[in-house]
Amino acid sequence: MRTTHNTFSILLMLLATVMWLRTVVAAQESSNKAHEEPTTLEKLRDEVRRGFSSRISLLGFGTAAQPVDSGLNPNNILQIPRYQLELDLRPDLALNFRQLELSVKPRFELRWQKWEDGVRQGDSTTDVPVFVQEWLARYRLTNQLFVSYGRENLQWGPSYLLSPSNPFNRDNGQNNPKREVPGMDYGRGVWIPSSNWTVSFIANTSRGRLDLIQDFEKTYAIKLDYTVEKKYFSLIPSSQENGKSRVGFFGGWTVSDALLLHMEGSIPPGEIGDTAILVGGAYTLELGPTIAVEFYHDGEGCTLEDIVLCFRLGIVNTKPPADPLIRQNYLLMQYAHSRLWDTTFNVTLRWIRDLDDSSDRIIGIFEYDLNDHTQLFVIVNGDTGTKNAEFGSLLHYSVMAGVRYTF
Amino acid sequence: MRRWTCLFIFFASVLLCHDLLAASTVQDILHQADQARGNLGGVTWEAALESVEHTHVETMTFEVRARGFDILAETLAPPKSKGNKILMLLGNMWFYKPGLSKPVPISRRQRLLGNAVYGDIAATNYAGEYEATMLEDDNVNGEVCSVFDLKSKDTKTTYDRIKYWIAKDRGVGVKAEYFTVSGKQFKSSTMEYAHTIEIDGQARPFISRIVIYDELMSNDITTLVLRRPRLQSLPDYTFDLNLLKK
Repeated sequence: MRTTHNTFSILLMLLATVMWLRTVVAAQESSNKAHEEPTTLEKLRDEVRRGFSSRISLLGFGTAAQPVDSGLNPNNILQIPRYQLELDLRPDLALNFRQLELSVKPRFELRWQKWEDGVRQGDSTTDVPVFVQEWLARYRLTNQLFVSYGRENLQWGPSYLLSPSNPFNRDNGQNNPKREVPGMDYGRGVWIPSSNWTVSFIANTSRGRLDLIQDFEKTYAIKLDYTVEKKYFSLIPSSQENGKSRVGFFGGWTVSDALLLHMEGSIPPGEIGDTAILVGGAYTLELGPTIAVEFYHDGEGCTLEDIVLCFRLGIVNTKPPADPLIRQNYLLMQYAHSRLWDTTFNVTLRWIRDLDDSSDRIIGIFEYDLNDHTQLFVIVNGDTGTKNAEFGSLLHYSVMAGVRYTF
Repeated sequence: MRRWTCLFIFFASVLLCHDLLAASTVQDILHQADQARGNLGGVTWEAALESVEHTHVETMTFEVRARGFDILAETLAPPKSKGNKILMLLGNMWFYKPGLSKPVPISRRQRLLGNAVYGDIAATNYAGEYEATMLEDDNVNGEVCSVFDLKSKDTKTTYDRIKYWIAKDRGVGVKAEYFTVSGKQFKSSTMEYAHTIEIDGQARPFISRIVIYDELMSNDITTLVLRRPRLQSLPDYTFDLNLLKK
């Protein structure tokens, strides 16, 4: 069982808050019956009750995966399980009280894993991770100025493949919307001088729950957002404590009612060859589906033929933190259709082509809403490359199937 | 000769003024109708969307905060969609749902529920986005209406062409037909105004129900019911993507 003192403290506070709120609601209801004029305290409690919101989901799923015995994963040294069953309780709780916003997303997981390959062949384990996925305290100093601190999965930008403008974490988690991207710890100040401009001051103070290949470095960024009629543009200069800096950027254009174009990237000052740039667009057909295409080039990406060499020679370690893609050039095509055939069936098909080693990743995300609370889902992931390729060196395939119940 | 020149200039001016006045009147009528459909300084309301597709009935409720054409809509029910958000700022539109790492840009054409696309929950800006030609007056449910043929000024609007009925006495749009570029009607809608709000010190009718009919593929009906409109100032931070609660 993986628990920490901090986690339990936060959970205890959370439970105490929920119980207090229940008492508040009960007290409010009984006081309404007894008195016609609410007291100041009752008004305050009512304000707290109205500012509280929650969304609680229960997620149960099974995963089957076929690991590859390759140079990157010899004898399944990465310990990729063949089978996994998991039950997750995911409450999202929030309280808005005047200028203060508080939110917390504790997670309770029950997980069983079984290995059929490599070093742990025949093993099986059960564990119960309990942790806080995200939490946030935000205070509105004025209508133009906000300050916050918390553990967030801080993401932005219009791209589907990844977010190359993000100096903290480029992985935007879109390959599997049921897996939550771990949060990192951030302090933020947000200044909104007008409806066109927003300036954010961001300090990434800790890696939080995110696993990184590299050592964590504190990173500071300023994010300038400019929005005009049917266009937006952002500039994100950032600096790490080790002296590395980048200038991120992204922009989008609503060309028409159906067509959106976007770009996103980052440039390390003085090293134009290491620029990361993504260009793309999405078109929504009259019948409903949206088709998106993106091309991504990362000057720092690895072009060595064998993917293992990218790790052995340390090329991956010099890339920006939490970069989910290793090579230089990629193409993405995505087909997304919500409410297919006038039903509650949603489908997303993603094809990612690694243009450097000619490997492919094909992802299918299928969701069916059984009723107002229950959703069935299947997420299929297949890699087609050789053992030396990026999409082929870890997994042949994985299938995740499950059900989500939202209270 | 000079007298004829003066007379010509006079008549030309009269004709020009007449045209300008007519154009201004049409713009005023459309603008007033737009206001009754949510194009205001700041308004909050609850919207319930019900879709009937074949025999399948589905409903969603939202809390909508609107300022002009900027909108923040949060899904309140059903539970599976609770916390989904739509943010429209200066014509740019984003969608967020719990589980996604970030809001994703979406187009106004993407379907919300039934026949309703995301663009349908936005306030109308027919006065600004469409060229209007006045047609012959018509009668809708016993009410005399001015009828306008609206043609999109550019390719950025939700609909290319709209035939729009505005009740003469109340100054509100009561019926609309929507056409594809090829001129085929694919959707129609009717509007009701059971609410009253105060604009510039005057009590004015305000949108309460929109019923959207699919005219092309099926007999599907989508109904948007708007409840409890409250006029209130909405600061810029309401529509700031950086502060969108996840």
